Amino acid sequence: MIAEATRMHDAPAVAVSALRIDFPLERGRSVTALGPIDLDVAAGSFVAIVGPSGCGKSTLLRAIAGLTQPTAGSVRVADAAPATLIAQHQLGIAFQEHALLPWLSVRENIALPFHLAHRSVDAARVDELIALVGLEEFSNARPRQLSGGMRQRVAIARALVLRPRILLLDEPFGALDAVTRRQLNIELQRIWWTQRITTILVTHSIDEAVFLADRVIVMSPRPGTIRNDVGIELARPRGREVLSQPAFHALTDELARALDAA
Amino acid sequence: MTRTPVWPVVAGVIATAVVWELIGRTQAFGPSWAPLSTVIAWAFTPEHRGLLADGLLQTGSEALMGLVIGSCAGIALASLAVIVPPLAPGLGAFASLVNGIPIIAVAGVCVLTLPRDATPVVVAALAVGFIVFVATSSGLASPLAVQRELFSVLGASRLARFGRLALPSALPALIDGLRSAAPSAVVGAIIGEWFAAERGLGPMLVAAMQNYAIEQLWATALAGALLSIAAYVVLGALRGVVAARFS
Repeated sequence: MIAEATRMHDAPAVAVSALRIDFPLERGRSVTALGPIDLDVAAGSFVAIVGPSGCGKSTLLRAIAGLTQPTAGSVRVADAAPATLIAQHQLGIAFQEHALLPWLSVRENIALPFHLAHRSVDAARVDELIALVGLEEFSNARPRQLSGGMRQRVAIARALVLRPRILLLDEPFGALDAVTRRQLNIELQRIWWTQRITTILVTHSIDEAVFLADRVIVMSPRPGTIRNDVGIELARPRGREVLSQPAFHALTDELARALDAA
Repeated sequence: MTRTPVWPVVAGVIATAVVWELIGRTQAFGPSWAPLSTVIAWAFTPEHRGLLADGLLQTGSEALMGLVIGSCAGIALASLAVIVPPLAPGLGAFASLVNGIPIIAVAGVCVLTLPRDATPVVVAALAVGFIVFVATSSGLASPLAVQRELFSVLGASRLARFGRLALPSALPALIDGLRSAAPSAVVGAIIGEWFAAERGLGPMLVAAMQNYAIEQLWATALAGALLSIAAYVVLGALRGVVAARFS
């Protein structure tokens, strides 16, 4: 409770205010993809964003990642522009596509952020992450030799290796089969619990959102705005058993209704 | 990776040899079409063998030098266009312009302006440069959008993007370009020799035509073609190795 109270006084890790993003169409016209959005994410929390296809949830994540510029409003990450955090190599990201470099081994792919940050590779940290995602036996394998689920684990290890201030996950398990996806959700929950990095996850899956997050944001169809903001009070660490608890189902039902209404 | 089966190649070579031989024997296209057997017999008599080997060595080394120099220039220009984006349109136009000059005209100018023995190498390099430039440019543009975005979010410098993403991604296309360029290097070297040189396949072709030495003409042409094919095959094998590693 004390930890919660101190957290309240910290500046939010991510502060999105009056954000609007328009996409240009032909002949100078444009369409509003997103906004206005106001969203504060507390340091150390895990926030999931769900919404119908095309509602702009990935666009919101991309704006926080500095990949898309706001048309209006602002995005502050750790009280700075995303570009500042990028320059300090303090953002971690994983996409639906693994984006691994095919010519590098698992170990080299995970070590890549050290090189891009012009730091010497911390081999112990790389080993720690290889162990954390359970790929010790594959550390010298190349991406083409791995299954889809293993590749996403490598991508998540790579996102975490520099201990970023913020971890951004854009549908990281969206292309995986249901069984692998559930397994990786359980693993991601465990990994997150050991690292406690402020995390924003964009997902289509309500189950995934409820299982992983402290807070689930439901967005409306385009132009996406925040429709619901639901706290998830399930105790951590959460294991497989959470998935069959009545409280879990009550939350997923509530969110499913909110999403249908959206 | 699926391997191209060998038998169609073998069948093609045999068919070509048979057709060549038949046309020569029947004189369907006149007396200046020497049958393959006669050409080979000419090529393997001791004095001609030395002559051909000397020509092949000369032209081959010029073509190789031209391939190396032209490739370096093509890779350097394509890389510069990526590292300094404002230069890209200008460099592309420059490369197209140089490529647009007929190779014969280039050779003529080289003879007038360069040392004699430099002409074949320079012409070969020019023939190669544009092909490698285009292949490298397209290879450097090949990383996936998501890979570029990853590098953006991780705060990669422009040089790191180039060295750690664009260049390794470009290697298969680059080697492909080298393979396509290798026969052009041989042709470029021969055309360069044609104007100026005293040794090599080019002067042997000139001498054969002037003296109506039919067998020498065909044997020299065949030697040039084999040189091109050899370069193509060697670089094709290299491409297989690189593609397996980098894609």
